[in-house]
Amino acid sequence: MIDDIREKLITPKNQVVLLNREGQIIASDNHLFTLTIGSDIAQLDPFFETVSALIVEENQHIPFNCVTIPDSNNKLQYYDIELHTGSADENPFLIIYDFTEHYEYIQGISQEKNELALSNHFEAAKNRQLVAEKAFKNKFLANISHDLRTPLGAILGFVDLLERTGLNYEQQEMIQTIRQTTLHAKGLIDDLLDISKIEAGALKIENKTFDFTDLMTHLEKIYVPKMATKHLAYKMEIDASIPNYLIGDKVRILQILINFLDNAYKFTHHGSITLRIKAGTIADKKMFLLIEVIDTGIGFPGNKAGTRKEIPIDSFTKFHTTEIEGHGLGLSIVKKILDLMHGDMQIDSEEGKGTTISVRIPVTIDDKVNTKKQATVENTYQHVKMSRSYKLLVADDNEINQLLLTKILVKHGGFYIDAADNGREVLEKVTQQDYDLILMDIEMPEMDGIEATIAIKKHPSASTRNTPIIGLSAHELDSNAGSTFNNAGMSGYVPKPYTREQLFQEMYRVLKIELLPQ
Amino acid sequence: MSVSKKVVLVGHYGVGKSSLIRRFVQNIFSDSYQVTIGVHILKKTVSYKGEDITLVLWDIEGKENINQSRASYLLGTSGFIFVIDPTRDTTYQNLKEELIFLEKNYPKVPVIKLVNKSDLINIDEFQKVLAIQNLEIDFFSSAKTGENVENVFMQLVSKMLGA
Ligand SMILES: Nc1nc2c(ncn2[C@@H]2O[C@H](COP(=O)(O)OP(=O)(O)O)[C@@H](O)[C@H]2O)c(=O)[nH]1
Ligand SMILES: [Mg+2]
Repeated sequence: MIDDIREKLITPKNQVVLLNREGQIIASDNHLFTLTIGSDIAQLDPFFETVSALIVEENQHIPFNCVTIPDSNNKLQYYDIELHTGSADENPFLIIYDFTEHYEYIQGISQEKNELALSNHFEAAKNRQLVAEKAFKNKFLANISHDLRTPLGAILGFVDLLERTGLNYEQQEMIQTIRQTTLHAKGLIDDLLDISKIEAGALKIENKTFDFTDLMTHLEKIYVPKMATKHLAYKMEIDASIPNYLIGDKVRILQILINFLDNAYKFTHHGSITLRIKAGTIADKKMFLLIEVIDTGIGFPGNKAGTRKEIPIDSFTKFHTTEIEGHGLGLSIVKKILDLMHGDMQIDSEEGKGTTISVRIPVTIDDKVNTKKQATVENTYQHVKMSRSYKLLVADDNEINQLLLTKILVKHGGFYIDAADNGREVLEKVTQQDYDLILMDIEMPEMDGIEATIAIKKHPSASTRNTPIIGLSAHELDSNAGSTFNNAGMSGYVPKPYTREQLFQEMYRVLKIELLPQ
Repeated sequence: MSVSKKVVLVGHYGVGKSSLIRRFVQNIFSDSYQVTIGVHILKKTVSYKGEDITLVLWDIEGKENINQSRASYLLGTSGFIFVIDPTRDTTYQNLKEELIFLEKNYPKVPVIKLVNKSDLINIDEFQKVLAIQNLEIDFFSSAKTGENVENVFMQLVSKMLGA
């Protein structure tokens, strides 16, 4: 039985070859390879080339494991080969074992193992490179944006100085363009800095106590005049139950709100913009600020009227970037900041009807300092409907300034404008007719703005006496300049150079056509 | 009857030992990777100074250390080619120790130090990497393009016969 098995299964798997000292075959059982007596064993495979060199030394038993010898079809077969070098009275011989099946199995495992190791290596290397590249890019971005801010600041500073050097009208216009462009660039660079910080994980969300009412007042100051210049109604609906002292990142919350309100301002041409903030449910001193910025602007194309629906933030950003001026970084930054704050945001829009951006920002209520003071901001500002036109007298000896001012006023609409070159001319004009308001330059030849104001306030005609006057002066406003104008009888004061917003804000206030709470 | 010399290619798995031999002997190259186990021997006869030399080329299973290789594979070796892959630093991290091992166990047997896969790298840049690590290399080759393959073997022949 055993002999049968050996005969059938083991014998055919090995071969014994007897050699002479020259490496020629003397005898072979030819179970595996058919060898010709007398031929050189090296003819079987180059492996055996070395055998003749090795059999020089007697009484050696050298095993060679896993020797690959292709068969006649060039299919790899694997053998263990033992070389016995024999002695003076014993011929060298080889025993060849066919272990193809066993080694094929081993080969399969090695193949898998090595391929995996190689691909792991290259994946890891690729990752390391990506991480390094990204870190480099972010560092570069952060540095360059930081460095770019300094020269931009210098440009803005010099633009201000240049503006006061008596430029002609054309130059003034160009200076305005330079200022706008530089501010735009500065905005982009600030965004870049934020982006690189976010990407580098360097943007940290502060958790500090802040005064919520202050924040709202700040926004009010910025947007009341700004919205008015575009004839937009601006409503602030702030939930009175929001505690005044909150813990969170005031600067970032402000950045988010400014972003939304600026967007709304940009994309809304009539109607209103509403900032609505509600308190979410309070749990364990934590609550969400539920913020909505609702505009009646151009909306998102594709969402036809009556189909207001949610817009993915990416497509909204993309639309704003590609279809409309702007860089579209703003919203993506907001999104990332919100992520860092664990807040979220949603955009609903309808073409031609408007857009509503809703965000939820988590804050913590600061109990220690939350006294009885409550945030109660509930104001709705409505830009004056300009139910009538106002008659203005613009007094400036500088023709260019006159022109510039007139241009701003005409663009705003709702004003009849008359001009005077000096105080004396102002006096003549107010005697001839009544004005709703005088915009008075202070430094003028013959009779300056202060003298003219004093004279007007002593005018025999009551209607002339009561004409409100706003002083315009390029002099740096020192602490008592305001009161000087006040003492002379002026109703208001705007320092030069002024922005449209500053000018109109003061005009609305003095003319009492200002944005009345509804 | 020509002189025959046993040449062993050593180095990590995947550096291109089999590919170099296939390129040299059969002038073919394949991008696919077939892991070598054990040993596979090919030969090629070259002529050197008018003499025929048969190179018996031992393509052995790549190991991370040569002393892990089966001792019998290295018996009677006349020349070594140490192959590294410039895209994987693990293949040359302990090159120095490996060379010392060969020097000690196979004194007077010439060793050619070879950077293969040169088609994948900027050679100048890699020279710097080698310089930093204080490694000396004899050749840059590519089994893929055939670049320098012939020269490597011929250089070894001249070293083996010159010794
Ligand atoms: N690009 C390139 N790939 C190569 C070169 N030499 C070998 N390879 C590839 O590297 C892998 C491993 O080659 P192989 O000869 O099996 O390496 P060995 O394990 O050292 O025998 C295979 O996929 C080859 O196609 C080369 O010079 N250039
Ligand atoms: Mg191989």
